[in-house]
Amino acid sequence: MKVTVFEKSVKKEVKIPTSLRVLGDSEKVPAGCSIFSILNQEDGDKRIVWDSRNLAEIRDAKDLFDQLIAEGMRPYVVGSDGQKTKEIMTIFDPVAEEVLMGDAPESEIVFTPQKALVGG
Amino acid sequence: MAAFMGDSSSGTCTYPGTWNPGTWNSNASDTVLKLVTYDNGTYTSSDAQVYLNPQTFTPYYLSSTGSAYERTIDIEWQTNNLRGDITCPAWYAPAGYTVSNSFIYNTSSNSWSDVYPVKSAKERMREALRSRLAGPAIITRKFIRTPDDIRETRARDALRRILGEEKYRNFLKNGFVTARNPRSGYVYQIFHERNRFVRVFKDGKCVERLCIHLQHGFTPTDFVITMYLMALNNDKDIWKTANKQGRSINREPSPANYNSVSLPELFRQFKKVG
Repeated sequence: MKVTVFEKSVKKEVKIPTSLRVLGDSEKVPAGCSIFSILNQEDGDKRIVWDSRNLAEIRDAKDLFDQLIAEGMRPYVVGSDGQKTKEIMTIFDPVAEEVLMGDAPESEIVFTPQKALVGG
Repeated sequence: MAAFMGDSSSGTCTYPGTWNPGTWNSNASDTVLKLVTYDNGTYTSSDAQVYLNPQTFTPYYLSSTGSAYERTIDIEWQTNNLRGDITCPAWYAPAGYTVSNSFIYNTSSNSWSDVYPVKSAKERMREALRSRLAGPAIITRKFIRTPDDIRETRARDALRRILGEEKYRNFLKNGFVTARNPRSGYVYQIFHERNRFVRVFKDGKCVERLCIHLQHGFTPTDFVITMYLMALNNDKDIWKTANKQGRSINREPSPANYNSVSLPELFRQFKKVG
């Protein structure tokens, strides 16, 4: 499974580690899992979940996080339902309050393609 | 009767791609015929075929006029497609021939006598009566329609989670979101519609219009999400990237154009023209 961060002409594909799962459109987030939301223009935005209690998955999530940042994506911690503050996460911290979630995830990390912004 | 007038345009279009037919004046729902001269450079067979997107063009054929390199095709389409971009033809070449990956188009308004049908005075009168049934309305906001594209649907799901239900409903109704940066105090009005400036407000007054957009085929809602999160967190980056268009001119909303000519006079005009 891959995510295409930018268009084919400047194709940047980031491989999603096999231990992480891509959620279906109407699928709910499993308990104890954290989410990456990646704005993706190829086939729509993707939600990737990883178990915040599983060390191997945390490691893979960190790898994915670093790769996405290297490709020019910008991560924001976003509270669900517009309730929490939004902020930029510069370094992946799996034990941060926003990332380490309880049974019901209350926030997600949204990766935005800030590199693709241009003045008109 | 000639009911259409088009401006001439020319250029190069890479396929698959789109080209814009320019500005056209037409009566609604009429069917028109348009000439497009193309030059595909390396293709010399007289059996050239042009296949057009059936959703955009109906019907199609290639005429035999012109030299081996330059041919004229007649394209017919419905007027409701005239103002959008048009998917350019796909090229099919027999074995042994190569086709360049772009074509030069050259449209002209010379053939606009082939236009049909024109609405009768009675039909136009009926339309005029219908338009007078309700008073003039001022509509300044555009609601957002249901998307056909799954990518846009997924982007809207993400935006819904980010904004929350109430703000998301307002976004659908008004076609924009607003975000206030707590540090700078600027309020950003971000439109879903493409080609609209991001408006920046301070103390309730518009202070700047910023021209900024996402490249590489992201959906309009992806743009809204990106701008919304940037406006809340790092609005300095928006200012760094965007082109500044200056403060908007505060225009008073003007009433919709309402024809005040009396109905008998209007009918006389229609009879005279039609």
